[in-house]
Amino acid sequence: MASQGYGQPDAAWMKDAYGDLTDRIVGIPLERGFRKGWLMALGLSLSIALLGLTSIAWLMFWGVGVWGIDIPVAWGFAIINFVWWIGIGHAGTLISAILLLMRQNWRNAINRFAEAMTLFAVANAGLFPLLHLGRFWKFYYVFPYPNRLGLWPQWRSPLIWDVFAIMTYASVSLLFWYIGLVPDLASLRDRAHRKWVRFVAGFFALGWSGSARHWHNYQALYLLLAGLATPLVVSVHSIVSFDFAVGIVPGWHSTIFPPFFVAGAIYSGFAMVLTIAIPLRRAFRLKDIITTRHLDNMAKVMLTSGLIVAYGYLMEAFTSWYSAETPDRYLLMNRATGFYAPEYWAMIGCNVLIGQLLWFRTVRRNPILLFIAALLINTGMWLERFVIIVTSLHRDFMPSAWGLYIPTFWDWSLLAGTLGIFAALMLLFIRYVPMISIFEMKELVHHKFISRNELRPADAHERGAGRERPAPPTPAFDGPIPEKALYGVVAEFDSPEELTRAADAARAKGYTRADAYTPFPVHGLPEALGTGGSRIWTFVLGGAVVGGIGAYFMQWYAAVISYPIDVGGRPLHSWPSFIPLTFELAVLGGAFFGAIGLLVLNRLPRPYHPIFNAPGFERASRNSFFLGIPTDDPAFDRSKTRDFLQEQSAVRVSEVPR
Amino acid sequence: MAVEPNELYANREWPHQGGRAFWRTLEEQCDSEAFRRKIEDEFPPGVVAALNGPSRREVLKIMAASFALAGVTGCGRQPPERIVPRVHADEAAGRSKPLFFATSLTLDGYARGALVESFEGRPIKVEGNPDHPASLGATDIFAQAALLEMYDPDRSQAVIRHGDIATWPAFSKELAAQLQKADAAHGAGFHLVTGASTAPTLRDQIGKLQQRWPEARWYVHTPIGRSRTCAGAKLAFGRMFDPILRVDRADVILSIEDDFLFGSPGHLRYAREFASRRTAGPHPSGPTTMNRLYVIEHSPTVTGTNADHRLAASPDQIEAMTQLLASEVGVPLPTGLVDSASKRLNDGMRRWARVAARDLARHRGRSLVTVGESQPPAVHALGHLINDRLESLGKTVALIDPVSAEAHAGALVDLADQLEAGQVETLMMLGVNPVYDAPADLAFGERIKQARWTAQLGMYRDETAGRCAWHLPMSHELESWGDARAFDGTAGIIQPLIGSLYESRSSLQVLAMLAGDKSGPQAMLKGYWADKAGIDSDSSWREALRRGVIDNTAAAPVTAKVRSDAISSIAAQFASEDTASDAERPFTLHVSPDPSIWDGRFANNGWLQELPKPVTKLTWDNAMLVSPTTAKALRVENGQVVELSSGAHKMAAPVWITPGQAKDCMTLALGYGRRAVGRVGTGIGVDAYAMRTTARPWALAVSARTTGEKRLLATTQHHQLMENRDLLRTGTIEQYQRAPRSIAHAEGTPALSLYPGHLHGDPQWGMTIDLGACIGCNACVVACQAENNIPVVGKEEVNRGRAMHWIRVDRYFGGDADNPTMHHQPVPCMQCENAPCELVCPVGATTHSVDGLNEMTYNRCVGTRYCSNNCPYKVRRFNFLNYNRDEPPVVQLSHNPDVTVRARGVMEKCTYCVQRIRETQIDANKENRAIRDGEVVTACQQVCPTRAITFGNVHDPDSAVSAVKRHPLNYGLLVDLNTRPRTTYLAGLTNPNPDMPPAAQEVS
Repeated sequence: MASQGYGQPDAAWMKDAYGDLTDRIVGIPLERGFRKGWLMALGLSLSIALLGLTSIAWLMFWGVGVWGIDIPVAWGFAIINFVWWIGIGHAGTLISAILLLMRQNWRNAINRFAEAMTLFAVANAGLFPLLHLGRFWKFYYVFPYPNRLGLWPQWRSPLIWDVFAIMTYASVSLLFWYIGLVPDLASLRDRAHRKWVRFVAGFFALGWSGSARHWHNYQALYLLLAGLATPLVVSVHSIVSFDFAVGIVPGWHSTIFPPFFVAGAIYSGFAMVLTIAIPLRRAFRLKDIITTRHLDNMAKVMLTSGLIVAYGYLMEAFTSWYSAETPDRYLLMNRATGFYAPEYWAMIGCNVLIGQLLWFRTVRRNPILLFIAALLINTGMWLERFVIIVTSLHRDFMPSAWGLYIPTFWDWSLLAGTLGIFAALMLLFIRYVPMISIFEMKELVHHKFISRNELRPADAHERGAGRERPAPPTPAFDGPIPEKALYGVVAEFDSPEELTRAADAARAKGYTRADAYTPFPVHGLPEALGTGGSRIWTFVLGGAVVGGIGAYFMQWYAAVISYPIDVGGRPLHSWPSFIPLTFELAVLGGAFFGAIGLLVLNRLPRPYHPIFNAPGFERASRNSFFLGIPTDDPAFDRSKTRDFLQEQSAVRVSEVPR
Repeated sequence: MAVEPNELYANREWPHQGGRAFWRTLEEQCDSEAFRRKIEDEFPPGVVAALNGPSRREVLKIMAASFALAGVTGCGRQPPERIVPRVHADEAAGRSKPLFFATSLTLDGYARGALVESFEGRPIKVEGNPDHPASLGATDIFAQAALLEMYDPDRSQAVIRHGDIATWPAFSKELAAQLQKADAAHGAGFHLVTGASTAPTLRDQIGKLQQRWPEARWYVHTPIGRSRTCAGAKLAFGRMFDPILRVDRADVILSIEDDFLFGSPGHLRYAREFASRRTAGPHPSGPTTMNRLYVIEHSPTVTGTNADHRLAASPDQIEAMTQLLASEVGVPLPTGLVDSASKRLNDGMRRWARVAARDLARHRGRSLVTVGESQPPAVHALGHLINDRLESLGKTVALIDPVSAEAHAGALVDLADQLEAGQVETLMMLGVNPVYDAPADLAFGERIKQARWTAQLGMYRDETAGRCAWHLPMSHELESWGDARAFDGTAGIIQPLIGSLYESRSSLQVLAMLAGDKSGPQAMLKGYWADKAGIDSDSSWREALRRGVIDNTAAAPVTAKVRSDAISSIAAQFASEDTASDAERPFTLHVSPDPSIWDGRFANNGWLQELPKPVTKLTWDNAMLVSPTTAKALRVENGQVVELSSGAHKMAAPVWITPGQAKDCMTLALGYGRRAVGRVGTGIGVDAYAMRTTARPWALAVSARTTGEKRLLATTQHHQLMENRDLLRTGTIEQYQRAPRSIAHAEGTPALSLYPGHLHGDPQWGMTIDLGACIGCNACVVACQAENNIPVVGKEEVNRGRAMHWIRVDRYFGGDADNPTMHHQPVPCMQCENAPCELVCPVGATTHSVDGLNEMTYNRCVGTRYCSNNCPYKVRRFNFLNYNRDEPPVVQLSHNPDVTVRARGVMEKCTYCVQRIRETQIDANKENRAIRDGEVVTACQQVCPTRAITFGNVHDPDSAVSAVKRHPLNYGLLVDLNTRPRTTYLAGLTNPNPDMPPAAQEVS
């Protein structure tokens, strides 16, 4: 039915392609049984996670003294792991947000699981600041909560900025991930056979119908969130770097740290995405979705960020030497030749030398080599944090107080434990949630065939795209629907182009309340329906202003009015120190208000909507395109409207009861 | 691996059966048949089983349960009377103020005056008695740690007869039988051993006993003592004398292995006098009064580290050096002797001796030579002869009759012979532990079995206790009445600060039992001093107690003439000596008192065990100190075990490479390798007594063999070099006079700052530490620990870098590795005005007070440790584990109630003794006045024998601390970081002899 060559495919072929994509991706959580390999991997991950939990229990019972930390090296694995995980957690949002803004559509294949990876990495990272506290049960002291003593957090401390940055990042990443997941959850809901799966997926899908208005606000918010998340990604690792850069320790006190850390985060984040993507595409046969081009592109990003990291090392060494400060120069020597020199050179080897392999196209396009390189770079980035924290602290200003840091079993077990937790969460994720953004892939396919013909129809046929899965039965209505019980009339189309044409015609005919329902956002459809111009930006802006001003006011009030106390001889109104928190809370406010705005404007969540009564409407989240005209449209007339829709190239026209 | 935080008190097994401390007594008291039955009636069977062989924890648990049950049953039997609470308290009966009591604390019998702070009836802190000649207001580490010793839960708590608990009445019943035997034999077969003692009343009692039993024998046993010093005086003068130094009168001092600043009975006074001549004074233009110190020693001591010229020499070379020096100042030694001495020395040493001798001679009458106890009597005698030549006798050196009883009693060798001969019917040992610390060749542990009836009075159930029929618990000095003389003979009364914690008695009380005297120790003292010093009224007695010293009791200096045949007898002694090593045994092993646990008596004292030793900074161990050259020759590194052998004796000990140690000369401290003392001290380190013989108590030739073994040695300072950082600044007096500011070259605080600097209130606290005065004696470290309830963390934690001391004494070496200069730098919190630690705390747990203190709020601390990372001085300390967990209740009694005991996960650090500041402030506020200069004294300042620390209000230009801060030698640590430290230092000055060869000059 479709052309076998590279020409323009016809609508039916495209429809098959959409359906095939949907079924394949949704099929992983819905149909795949428990595979032996997956179960074994999960079991292994969980046992390692259990070791980590034991380590945590031991730590909580005895105190942080079970680790190898001491004076002078008061921070050890906990902070190393924290920074490492946070760094890894940068790739997801970076891929989702920055590449979105840069219109790098290839990201669509990898953003979903990269975002999930971000969430799990951030969750792991968030564990460490809590556990590393000497008195973890007093962790809430870092929050500005009302207390009898009238005490506030100390806003000048980078650790406080950290708390807010990590929390904001975790919240925004979660929102971003969830909002992106909603349309796919709708697909899952519509494909599921088991009732409870349908219920759970439906619950989290919030009543998503794929209406043009939904898509419109959704896209507006998604873009705004991407705009917020992009500076957020940069800010989070900058703030993490402030933990060190604000300190006076030689090797920490450096202005190069924020960009250096951000580049390092991207480097390690992409390495981790590759570490996960390469086995994943093999295990689930997704080589046509996560293509060699994806690997190549990601490797190029790594090459670039790796070069920035290498430049950072060079500049660190240069500024140490150029400062002419004895402790700084000593640090340079000590890193290269001291007790921890093996770690330093291993770091250079992994991050700088291995990184150079990515210049070669053969390496970039060879999954196995790339996988090994990514693993080594991940190790190298862990070592970088080790070098920054341990070698800087172990020999600082007073030689009489110099000492070593030797990690203990409990240091190692906790690191291993977080790897286990991470792996277990990833395994559960790929098994139970669509790991690839379905609607974005469909959109991508739609766009692709306007410019390039990459997905060959033959491939789609080989995979059985033509076989439509039998949809779950929809409620049948016997006989004609009474006038009162009629919701409207719905027409089903095979392609977005036909739908758009029909929408244009409806508009011309005077229908003002017509709505379209599509499996992915269709360009030009809102305009055709006359619902263009989303007001969601007002929510985002309002939230950002409230968050930002509120944060600055809180800090100023706490430090100047409520609890004025001399801290390190600094002014009470230390405005530069108040900026990071102001920014973070502005982003948080914007993102939260935006999410609320999306719900308000799309009138979600909505557990019941009559449009779902339309026969075959479950295909609206797969590969069919619907145009509905409700009875409350001023131009609605039961038979005329029906006839009008029949005239458009609809596959089927049906009446929809309430 | 995780370290048990409670290792000190909970996990160390008591070494021998039947002596579990603290609760074991109760348990064993419960162990009667009747009691057992009663328990069996009342408790389920498992409880009784647990009582049979329980751990301490189990006993505690069960005791607590049974006490609780006792309380429950008690409810039914409560009397109907009601108790009435005191609703309206007297105004005066608010928080009770601590009181200070004057007393004396002794070490090897010699008294150091102390004022002990008592809070609601329990002693909590020891301070020096300013009225006491051996204290002048200062104390040493041992006096500070006496407090913990008294509260030690491992102290002996019950009378033991053949390993079982007995009672004092049972003992006195058996004693009566022995006394009858002694009476019948006029004392024959009765042998009494005491430790070195200066106690006049005790001597009087023993004298009375000897009158009653002329055949009875009395011995004094002390592992260190002053016997060679006295013997040396006898050789020189024909009579035993104790030399007293007048350090402040000496311009040039030569110490021949005499650690007079740290290890001699008068060291606190000597250190004060020495330091009074070391400071440059407020004006550089004034005349210099600075003294010059030459030290010849085989191993670096506190005194050696303070020398202007220090020479590391083996015992043989020291002897030769003394001979050469004597000859150079004009002592007419036989030329043969001098020639052979000269041959044993190298060029540098010969030149050293000549230059030093010339310097001494140039300051005739204002120079002094002092010789350490470890030197043979002939060297002591030669020292006296040099002093005689230098006209020092009577000027810088005074001779007095020996203060210690050692000179008047027999020695342990005689007792060993008597034991061997089976002559000992009754052997009483008061406060001594000869089974552990007698020379190895006496085999005292074996020979003691020859005595028919033995009893030992001791503070611990130690090695000797295990070999005696009777062990009697001895009272601590803080619990008992007594008296003691200072190094110069001044007597003082020892008064109890607290009733005996356990069923213990003092030596005086046991002697009274022998004499049948039932009047009690206070009456005995009163009686004695009424006779001797006319203290016959209650008011004069109270005055003596109040002041802590008895007036006019100092020994009068004696004018002595050198014996005419002194030189020939000295030469003869030298000829008979044989200390030289040979090819077979190329090394010399030297034993020395340990700088923290002395002869082993403080082995169970956690504060002292954890105290970093002044030179090596080792804790919790002794190690064989070797010079870097010897280490290279033996191919050993720190911690590797070397086996030494000398004839039949063999011993293996880990090596610690010590710059400044004489070549081919190993030094091992006494006091370790205790086999029975308590949970803290048993089984750590190596027993150096095993290598000691009566003939060669201090040095003997040995051969050395490396073994493959390596042992962990915990040090607090891993890095010895300053890495070209200007942390510790020193210069010569000549440089100072030429350009006063060139030594400290203080950059001053950067003038420009973005920060407002709003610390303008009054007062503003600040401190200075004079590096010229600091001798590195560690007293401040222990004083701080006692004052601020600082926990002891144990060897493994120290090794991990988790020692908790709020003030540490950094030690740096300069110059040549084999003969370096050594420097001490106490580092407390700098109390920075722009404190980097405060800035980074996320919860505001460390902030600044209005009077300029960098304060730590424990309750607010969540333990991020960021402050410690950001502290450039690394003075913050963290409770990595719950170090105070399972602290025995009795140790808790020693805590200062004004200072919080910190919990796990909390940062802590020096507070400038904020509790003392606030106390004074409250007093001043009550009187509506400002705090006077010098009114607030920090614990480290108070204890310092050299007054190196000045503390006060830096906002007041007239305060002492402000004056010191204006001194041209004043500088701050790392001020270029703009931390504005409130603690600053005075650069140290040395006074080297320009004629000395440059190799021995200071290089830093």
